[in-house]
Amino acid sequence: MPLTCCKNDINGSDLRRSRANSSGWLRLMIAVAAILVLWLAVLPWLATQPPIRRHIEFLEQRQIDPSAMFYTELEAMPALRTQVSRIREDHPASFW
Amino acid sequence: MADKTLGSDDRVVRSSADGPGWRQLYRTEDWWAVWIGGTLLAICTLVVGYEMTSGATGSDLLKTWLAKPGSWNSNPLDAFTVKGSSVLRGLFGAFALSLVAFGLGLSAMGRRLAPFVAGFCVVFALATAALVLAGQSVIKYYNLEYALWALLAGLLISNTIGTASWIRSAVCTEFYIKTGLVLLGAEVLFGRLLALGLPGVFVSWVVTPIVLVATFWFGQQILRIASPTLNIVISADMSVCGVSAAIATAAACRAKRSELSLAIGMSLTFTVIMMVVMPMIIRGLGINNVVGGAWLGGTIDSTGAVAAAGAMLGDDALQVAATIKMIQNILIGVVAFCVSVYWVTRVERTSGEARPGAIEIWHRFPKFILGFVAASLVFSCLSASSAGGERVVDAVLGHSTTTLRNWFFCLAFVSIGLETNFRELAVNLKGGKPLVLYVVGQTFNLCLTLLMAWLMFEKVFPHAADVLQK
Repeated sequence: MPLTCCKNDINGSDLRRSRANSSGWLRLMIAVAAILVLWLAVLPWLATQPPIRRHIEFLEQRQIDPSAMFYTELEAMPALRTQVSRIREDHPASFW
Repeated sequence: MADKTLGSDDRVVRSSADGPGWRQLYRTEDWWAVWIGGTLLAICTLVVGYEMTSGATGSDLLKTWLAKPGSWNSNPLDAFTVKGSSVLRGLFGAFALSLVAFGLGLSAMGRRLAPFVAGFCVVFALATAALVLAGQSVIKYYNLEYALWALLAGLLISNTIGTASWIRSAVCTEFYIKTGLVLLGAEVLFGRLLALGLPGVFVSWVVTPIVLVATFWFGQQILRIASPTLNIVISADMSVCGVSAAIATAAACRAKRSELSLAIGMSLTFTVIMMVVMPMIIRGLGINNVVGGAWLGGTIDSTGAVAAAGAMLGDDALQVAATIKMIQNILIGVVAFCVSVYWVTRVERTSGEARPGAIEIWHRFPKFILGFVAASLVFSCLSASSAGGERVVDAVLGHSTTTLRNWFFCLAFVSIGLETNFRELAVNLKGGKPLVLYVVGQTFNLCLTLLMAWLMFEKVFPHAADVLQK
């Protein structure tokens, strides 16, 4: 009797684990599907909207990546540095 | 005492105070981060130097073999082609180099290599997916950096199917972060501190430390935030330069992973709002572009968002905003060093404990910070030595070590996600104190930076504003 009880417990916990596993996979699939819809349909559509499109092009022309984390990641930075440095060299007294 | 408070696995970076003397040099992650970071910097510098002396523009080889996915609009496969050429070789190079470097370090520290290699393939694949997600043009446009998507990729796995034990073998958050920070050290070039003369120094290096200290004090004394590490990470992330400052400070004070994740989440959210709203306010209030640019540069957390907001006002505002942010970025080195010293000497000391002696301080000090500082000093000297030195440094950073550093941070955020439960993140938001801290600190930052920018460019150095506007 205790053995049967134990077996039932094991079967029960296996069943629960298997259900949890399949529910985990299901949740992952749903999340991945949501990401795919967002990134492959919604965001590309947004990117074609004139105000956003114009702004993206405006930033691209100026070599600005708004997601740059540090100044070394900004493509425009060397040119900006050179411009500022030239201004400073031309007018040294203005900055000190 | 240090072991009691720092031994938890939930820390971004754990104490390296275990293990005797010189054995730490090859048995601890802190030192391995220094060796790996230092070796990578040395190799990249040698390759660039060799290419430059042999007549090439520099870093062609590194550019080919070290890359990350680029931006795309509607087809994610476009992320694997940057400026007309495929980056697949570059991705493979970054993968192979990371695998070898971290695998070597871990095996020297006594970890088994086979499970790490298998797990690393998954972690690297998730990091690649995160960089592709972050490369979508609208996502970039709103400054939603890869850190967020890397965290999300890991969280999705750990909170649905769970992180398998063989993947956990490659979940080495602190190792990736420490090594990435040593590489970041090379980007902290002190010669650039004076790029905008005295006005730049005052707006970036006087206001920022005041805001950082005041916000931390407010969090401790008024809000009474239970975790000082959460407090300092949010304060640094808000006052210095967003995600990079949060990573450096979290590592320096050994904050919890969930605290770093929360600070980054808040920073990115407020950055999006400020990037869109601040240019409108500047225009609405009729603030001149130079003062406005300095205000943007000193307050918006992320560098890219500062440039995007500055560009909305005009080229003069863009110049000033980006330069102020660059000067502020350099402060990250000083902040990380000071926070690590303060934590070791003051915060990690129990109330009755005597002030720790020099040996104890050395024992507890996060050694990778030394690598970070050394990289900064060496590259600052190299950059300041001559025009050629500056070209070498720009080439090394531009196409190799910055790319690697981004990969390492991305691997770290995937790892954080893979070992974090959604509930852990929610715990830190309890009572809304972190949010109040961020809002109050940022409000103070906005007021003080505007005052300083106005004082510097309108009252003390009005000619500087005039010539910058021309």
